[in-house]
Order: sequence, then structure tokens, then C-alpha cells
Amino acid sequence: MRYLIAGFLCLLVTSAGPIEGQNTCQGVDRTSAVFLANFRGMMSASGAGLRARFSLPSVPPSEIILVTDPATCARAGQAADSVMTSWDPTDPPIATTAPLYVIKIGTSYAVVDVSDPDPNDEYASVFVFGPGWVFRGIVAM
Amino acid sequence: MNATKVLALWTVTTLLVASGCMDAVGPAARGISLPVPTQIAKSIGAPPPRAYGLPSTPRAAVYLSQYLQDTWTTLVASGAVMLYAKPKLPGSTAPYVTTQSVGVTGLIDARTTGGCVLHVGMMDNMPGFGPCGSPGKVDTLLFKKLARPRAIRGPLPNSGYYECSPNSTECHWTSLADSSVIVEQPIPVSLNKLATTKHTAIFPYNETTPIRFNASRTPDSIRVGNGKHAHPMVMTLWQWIGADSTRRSSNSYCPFSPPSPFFYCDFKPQEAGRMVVKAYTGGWEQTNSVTVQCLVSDGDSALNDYANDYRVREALLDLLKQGHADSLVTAGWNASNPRGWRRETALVIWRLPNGGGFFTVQVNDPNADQCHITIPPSAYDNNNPPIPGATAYATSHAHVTSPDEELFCEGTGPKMNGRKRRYAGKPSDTLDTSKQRRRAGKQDSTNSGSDSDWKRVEERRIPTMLIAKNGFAYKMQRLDVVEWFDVPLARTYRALKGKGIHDVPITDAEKRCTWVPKYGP
Repeated sequence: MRYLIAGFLCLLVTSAGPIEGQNTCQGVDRTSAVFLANFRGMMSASGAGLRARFSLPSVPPSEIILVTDPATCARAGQAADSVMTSWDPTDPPIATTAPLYVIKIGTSYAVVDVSDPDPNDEYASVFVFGPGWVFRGIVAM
Repeated sequence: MNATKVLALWTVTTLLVASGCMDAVGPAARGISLPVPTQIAKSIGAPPPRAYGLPSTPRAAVYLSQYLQDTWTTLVASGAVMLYAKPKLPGSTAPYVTTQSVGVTGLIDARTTGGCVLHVGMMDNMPGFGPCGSPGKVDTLLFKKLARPRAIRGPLPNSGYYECSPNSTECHWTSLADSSVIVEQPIPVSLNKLATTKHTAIFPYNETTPIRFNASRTPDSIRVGNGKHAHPMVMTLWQWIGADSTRRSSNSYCPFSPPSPFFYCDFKPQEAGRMVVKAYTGGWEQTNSVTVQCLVSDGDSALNDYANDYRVREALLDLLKQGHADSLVTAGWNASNPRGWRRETALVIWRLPNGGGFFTVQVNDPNADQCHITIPPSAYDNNNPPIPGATAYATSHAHVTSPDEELFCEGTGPKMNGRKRRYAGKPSDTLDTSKQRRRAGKQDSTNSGSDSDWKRVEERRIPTMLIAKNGFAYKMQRLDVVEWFDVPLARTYRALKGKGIHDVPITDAEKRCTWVPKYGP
């Protein structure tokens, strides 16, 4: 019985909000609009080269949306953390609840963390993942 | 050495000095290595004053400048020469000219043909520098096309036997060390900004009346004595340069055999472009031009500033050129140039007071690279405008990289959860994950700048005008809306052909409305 109660509380915490170490979702704002506009622009015929570079599908603009599902955003943070760690295992990211912009592009995703802004960063670096969170590359926006 | 040789040597020496050819033996011959020029200095302009030496030798002459077309010129002569005389014989009663200094208008001597000695005069019946013995004046002459006027020294005084010697009439002489200097300069005449009956049009231009381009000069005339004379001006070239340059212009415009006596050109352009005129006036061939372009449809007053010949557009296009957008992305990297050639460039667009239109001021950031450039707040501070009363209209910078190109920037890179990885800062950076170096591709936005650009718009409280290598310009401005979806993020203008996500087939209408770049280097 105690295990059942503990499990229920755990489920309650999970569904009530982010637990420590899981990224959250950024809401709609100017920045998300910029990212959405960028990816929607890539769906034009002339964006074929860029789409191929990131193995992105060609989808209608309506299928390019800002993700608001916490679980997906948390998974996106883990995927991006994995990429960062693979580049430098000695300096892995620290799991945080920082909100991420996660954009769904058909069956692919784009993930970007704009917290802790750096004045030298003219461009935001956007992680692009294919289905199954396979890393496809980074695009600067 | 006879007088002729002395005269020739004198003339050559004087001309070399006057024309600045003292460095006839080049630096290389002296083993000096000059740095490669990094910018173009003014290479052509109004002819400078030229000085010619006229020896004191009687009847010596010197050629003055030759102009390709009739040119009004001022001449100023100066410098006294000594006239030496042998002692007068006792008992001689003739009016004898004694040793004395002689000015440029000479000395009156009734016994000499013309009544004047050692004066500086002009040949070919051209007026000289004033009556004999007068203080002299600035002479204003019309140098005729291709003529080479000559200044000439007057004779020695006439003498007879038994004035200074019973055996000779040669009683006077001058010193080769003496001379007069004649400074010659064309009267300045400037070719005015080329005028046009239309600054904007719809292309191809099919109206019945062609666009007329009118050339003019300032001043247009000169008053010499009691007469008023037009400053000569001869058209030597009319040339239409289409901005898109993909179609042949009609070759029937402005039919003329140079030099043309007409100061205008009637033309029906097929596309936006620049009419260039060359005209010889004021002693040199001058160039001017004017553009005829399409207006941008949203009526942006800076981009449509035709009264100032669309100079904001010109400045924006020039940002791409200055940022070496067409160079290889890896070009120019070396120890002394650690950021390569390609880099972002920026300017501030200012609005002049009283409806005077717009002008731009370049922003210099020595640390600019392919990813960023800093525009300090002082550059767009309305409390400290470059011209009193001007107000900052927009900041502007160029995105010099296409989406399909790599870019190299120091200090930037992906980050996640408090950790950062760096992009390759330069082409030689090892792409070793342990060094956290990666290469990045870049994407210019569909209809907006980068996220950072939008932040700047918010911070600066004035719009940002982007010009991108993809051929588009964007105007990013704060919108008084809260909902960011489904509103245009930026005004988009097709400025020129380009390569990028916007590289959709450019329409014929867009081609014909290509912005006109700066003329010349």
C-alpha cells in the first residue's frame, strides 16, 4: 500500500509540473515566431538544399508548430544534452528546468535554449533532430 | 650652351617641378618597398594650378597647357627680372634705358617696336597682363580646344651706336638666373548632379514621352570685361547602366557623335538603372549620374528617398560589398587579418530635419565578423546626431553569408543547460570535438533577421534594416501587437538577385526593379 501511495505521489508531481532536471516548454512569443518563420521558410522549393542538409521533411506550414507538451520538451532537453555530452564528455550539461523552444516539424524537431543569453551570440543555435530524436545538425538562426 | 638650349632645359625643369614628376626615378629603383594601397585616393579632379617659368631671355617663350575643349583659364604672372645696361657714353643724348628691375608688364621704351621691353605677353593676339609698365593684372583667357597658348618675353631696349659703345648697339642684357612665373588654372566649373524628369517609373518604360536627363554646370557662364560668356561644356558620354544588366538596352538613345552640343538625353529605360553622363568642362572630363528606380510598395520613406537619388538603398547595397559577401567564406584569413575578409558591416540611417530626406553614417567595428557587429548606442543617439536636428531612423547591417555556406565566428556556438560549445572561429580551427569546435551553417530568416536582431530592435527602439546576401532587405520594427503569429515579422524587399532561402525564381518585374548600386569604385 505504501508503494502505491508513493507511486501516486510521484505521478502527481510529474503531472503537476516539471521535476528537477527536466527542461520545460517556452511559450509563444516573439522569439518563437522568428524560429517558426525560419522553418516555414525552409519549406519553400528553394529550401530543398537546406532541408536535405538536415534531413527535414517537406511539410505544410501548419505542421510546423511550437510544442507545448512538457514531456516532449523534457525529452528534447535530454536529446540536446546527449549531443553536447558527446562533443565533450568532460563537460556535460547540467540538467535544468530551463524552458526550451521546441518546434515540431512534421516528425522532426528543432530545439533551442536561449536562456543565459550571450551578447556575442548573434545567432541562436538550433539543434535539429529527426524521428526518434536522431541528431541531424545545428542551424544558426 | 646657347640660349635655345638654356630655354629648353629651363622649360623642361620647370614643367617637371610644376607637374609633380620629381619622383621620376621610382621607389623601386631606390630599393624602397611601398605598402600596397588599401583604399583609393582621389585619382581625378579639377586640374591643379600649373606654374610655368618664363626665362628673362628676350623673346623666350613657354607653352602653357593644352585642353581638350575650350576652357576659360586664369593666368597670373609674377617675378621681376633685372635689366642690365652698360654705362652710358658721356655725351650721348639718346633716351637711354639704365639698369633696373622690370616687372611682368615690362618697361616702356618708345624706341622699341611695340613700345615695351621685357614684358610677359601672350602670342596669337591674346591679351596679356595689362598695359606696359602697369602693376599687372590677372589675365582671363579662353584657351581654345587643343591649342597651346604661348607666353613670350618682350625684347631688350633698342640702342644705337655711341650710346654705350662706339662699336656696338648691344647695350643691355639679362641674367639667366632671373625668370618670371606664370601660374595657370582653369576657372573651376562643376558638372551638376544629373537632373531627370522622372526619378521613378514602372518598367519597362512605355510612356509616350521619354525620360529626359539634363546635364548642367555651375557656374554656367563667366563675365570677362563687359561680356558674358557661357562656360564651354561638351558632352562626351551618355550611358545607361541597367541594374539587372540582363537585357540589352536600346542603343538608339541619345544618338550623338561626341562631342555633342546638346546637354540632354531622352531615353526610355527597360529596367531600373543609372544614367551616367560625362562632360568636358572646366578643363577636365567630369562624371555625374542619376538613377531611376521603382518605389517600394509599402512606401518606406528612407528606401523611397528619390530626392536624394535613393542613397539609402545605395548604402545598403554597399554594405554587402564592403563585407566581401562575394568572397570565399574562407578568404583573407591570416595572422594579420584574424577574421578574414567576410564580415558584417553596419550603418545608421538618419532622417534630416525639415523633410530633407535621409543619409547614412557608417559604423566601424574592428571586431566585426561573419556573425556579429556591434552598433554602439552612441551611433544612433538622437542627442548627438551627426547633423544638427537629424534623428536616427534605423540601424542597419548586412548578413553576408548564405544559408548554404559555412560561417566562422568567434565566441558563438550551441549551448544547452548552462554549457556551451564553440563554433569554429576560423577556417584553420581543428574540427575536433575535444576542442569543442564545430562548423555551423547559417540561415537567413524567411522574413526577418536573427533572434538577436529582433532583440536589438527591442533594445534600440528604432527599426533595423537588414540587407542580406540572399538578395532581400528586411525592415524589422516593433509592432504594437501582442500576438506574434500570423503577423508579418518584417517588411521584405527584393533588392537584388541573391542566393539563399529566398532564391526563388526572381520574377521579371523584380529583376526590372533591382536596386541600383553605387557607381564607381
